Amino acid sequence: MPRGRTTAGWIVLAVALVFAYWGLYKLFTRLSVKPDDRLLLPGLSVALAFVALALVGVLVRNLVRLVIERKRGIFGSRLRTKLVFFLLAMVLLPSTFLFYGSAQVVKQTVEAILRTPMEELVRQSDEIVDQWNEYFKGQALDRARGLAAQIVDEELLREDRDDELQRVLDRWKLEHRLHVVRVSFADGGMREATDPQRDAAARSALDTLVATLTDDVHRREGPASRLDHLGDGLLAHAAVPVPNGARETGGPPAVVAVGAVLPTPLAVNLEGFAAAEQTYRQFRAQRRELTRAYLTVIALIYVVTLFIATWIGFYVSRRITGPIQELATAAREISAGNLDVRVQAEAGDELGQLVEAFNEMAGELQENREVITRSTADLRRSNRALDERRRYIETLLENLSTAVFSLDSAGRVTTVNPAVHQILGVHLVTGDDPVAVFERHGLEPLIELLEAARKTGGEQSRRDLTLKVGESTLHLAVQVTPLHGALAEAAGTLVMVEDLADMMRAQRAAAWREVARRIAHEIKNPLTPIQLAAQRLRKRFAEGGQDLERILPEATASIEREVGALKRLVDEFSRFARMPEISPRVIRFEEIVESVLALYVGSTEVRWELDLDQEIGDVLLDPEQMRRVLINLIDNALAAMQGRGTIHIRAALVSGGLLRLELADTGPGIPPADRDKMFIPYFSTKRRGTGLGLAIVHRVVTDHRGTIRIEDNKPHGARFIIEMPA
Amino acid sequence: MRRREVTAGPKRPASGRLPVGCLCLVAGMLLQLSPGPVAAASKKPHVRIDGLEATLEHDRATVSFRVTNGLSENAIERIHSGIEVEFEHRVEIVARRSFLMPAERLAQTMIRTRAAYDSLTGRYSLYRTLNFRTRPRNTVEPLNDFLSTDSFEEMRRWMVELKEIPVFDPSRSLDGKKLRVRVRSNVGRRYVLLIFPSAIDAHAEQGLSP
Repeated sequence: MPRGRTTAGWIVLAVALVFAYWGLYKLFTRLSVKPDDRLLLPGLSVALAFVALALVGVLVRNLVRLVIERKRGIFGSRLRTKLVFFLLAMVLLPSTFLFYGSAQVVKQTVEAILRTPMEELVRQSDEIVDQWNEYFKGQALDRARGLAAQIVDEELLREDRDDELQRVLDRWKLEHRLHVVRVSFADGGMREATDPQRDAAARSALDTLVATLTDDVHRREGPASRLDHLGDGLLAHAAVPVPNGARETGGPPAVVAVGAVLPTPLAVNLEGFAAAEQTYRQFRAQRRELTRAYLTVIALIYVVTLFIATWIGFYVSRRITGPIQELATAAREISAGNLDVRVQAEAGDELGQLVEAFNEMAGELQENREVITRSTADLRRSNRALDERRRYIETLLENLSTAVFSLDSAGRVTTVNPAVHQILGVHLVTGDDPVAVFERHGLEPLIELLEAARKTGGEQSRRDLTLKVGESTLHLAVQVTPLHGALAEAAGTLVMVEDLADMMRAQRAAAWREVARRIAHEIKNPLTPIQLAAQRLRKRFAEGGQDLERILPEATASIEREVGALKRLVDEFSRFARMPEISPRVIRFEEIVESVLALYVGSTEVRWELDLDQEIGDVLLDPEQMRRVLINLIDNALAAMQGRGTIHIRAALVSGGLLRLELADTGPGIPPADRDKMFIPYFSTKRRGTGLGLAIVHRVVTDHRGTIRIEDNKPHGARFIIEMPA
Repeated sequence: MRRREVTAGPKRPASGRLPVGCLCLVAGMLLQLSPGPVAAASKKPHVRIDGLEATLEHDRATVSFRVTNGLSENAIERIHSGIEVEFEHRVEIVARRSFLMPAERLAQTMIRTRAAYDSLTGRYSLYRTLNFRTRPRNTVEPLNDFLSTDSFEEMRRWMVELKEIPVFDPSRSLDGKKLRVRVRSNVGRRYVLLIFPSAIDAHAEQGLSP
């Protein structure tokens, strides 16, 4: 049922109750209901009981329903229960105390009214009325007896003395101020004092009273006296039988009746006394009814108060829980995904603000969901593009001849391409620990590289490695690149391994071609003077030997010189070819350097700068080969500087446990185009150079699993950088 | 994983449970107020019908009985306060029928006795009204009677002792019927729990044979 209709119903009911109450009040007032009414009062009482029971019934019904709703866990029932019982408790005790107190006050008041001196006053007034009553009746009786005695004494009942009887009656009426003086005979006849002032109605009433009194005398067979109402006054009258007054023997005697109307003030006072006493007695007799009526009214007010309190509790709780319930329903709708829902509850208080805030939240959620939907679509498209890109990269990796694998921050394989197996001969799969795999396959140098990269976690490093795996030798270029996340945190490592075998074969072929060309050139150079010397000798000899003595020594000297040059050339080639295998041992690196410098320092004009890191200490190297490396590099530098300038030698331990040796000169430097060829045997930029010095250096360094490269020296000159495990 | 429920208030809501002490207090106060009439009524002498006599002569029944303790202290007090007090006596002649059928009411006489006291004259005005009703509808005119007396005993007898009350329609044949006379006297009213009216009455029944 809509709330508006419910409220209207309650208003109609309240108005109807007010009108019903007003109507009952008017009915009571108009009807002047008597206390002993057999129908109206019980009817009203029952109606009242029904109203009270109906109210109690509604009250109990609501409370029971509330308890059931609470048991069932219906939303809002807890708050409603709290409010209703709180209001009920708040009203119950004060109302009960008020009810109890009021009832006690009513009872005490009624009892207090009935207590003395009121009771004593009423009793005394009652006695006064009784005494006056007895007095007047006694007076009337005395007069009746006196008159009867006179009638007997003067024999006035004889039929011949009727006139005398009439005179006596008239005289008694006047002398004693009587209003009734009558002699009634058994035959129904009577004599009465004349009373011309009395009208017919008054006479009739008087006759009735006197006749009744006369009947009493006959019934009792003795005197009788009474006090009766006569019009607005009181009649005190008495009747006595006349002794021996029967007109016939054995018949009923005549009866003398006299009566006097009491003086008006006295009668009024007596009636006032009697009325007041009667009023009090009625009040006392009805005190229980009165108390009950008051208690009933108070009880009804009590029930109505409780009912109103409960109703207010229900009303207030419904006003509160209604919007909350709608909010809860809407929240469930929203949680179910229906963001279009809005709460329509009308409330102007904080609940209204809550509803408004909820609706705003729902609106914002709806907008956000639309944004999220759009973002999700964009994200899906991006993911699709990324997926395509990933597949493209995977395809690239699959088809790449370079071995590529990546490790996560824990050192586990996350990506690996088939070239890893092709180049390294190992089966790496995602999740593998590459260290364990490489150990099993004798690829320890790769492990060292990975460890060095893991420890440093910094820059990209690249090494050329020559590994002997079983019977085969691998020539690899390994590049280790640390990977970083969005927040620059370590995210893993990317390792690229390039097989240099083909390139080296090509380089070797090219080198040998160059060697062959240069050997041919070197051999060809002395051959020409030898050929010219031999042709000159044959010509001179054919011409007869003129100047033969002079030419022969020159020619032979020339031939010997050129042959010697050829011989040196062959020796150097043989020596290069016979370079022994390195035999590393532990030695202080400083000793190697100092022993080499001792050969040069002081013999040249070159300025020497030595910068050795004290932390280097002992190293595992072949000292002889390393001396050869240093000598070749220094010779090369001296030749480049033509004996003047500065040679700076610096050695230090760098990341990854590598020994870094730098030798810089201040010569003209090496053009970038020649740098790749500098380590090829027999390549030389010097006119008289053999081209084997740097080739030997490169051979020794690579035999130590190191690398060598050439950079520009600042401001001028060349810088040779050697990095090798120490 | 165990969930721990945290409640800000007491575990059980305080509302919804009135303290037992308060309820007992309220109930005690209400009980103290309510049973007054019941307690008073229980101390009063038991009202009963005594001396029920019924005679049936020439298809005319007369019934006599008295209502012992009918004129209660309260009724006397009310009479002497000037309030008119009326008793209602209902006399019925019924004929028994089969086991499941209720008895057939053949005739009924409703007697109302009323007393009014004049404290000034010290006299009781006594009224008696008899309403006859027989089946089928042939209601007889009511009989009214009046007596004025200063005797309390006479007033008492007038109110609660009824002698030779005529009950029956002589024109009706009673051959073969098992007759019974039922008497019910209503001599006042009291209230139970303040608002429920309850009659103070007595009833009696006995067989009626010609």
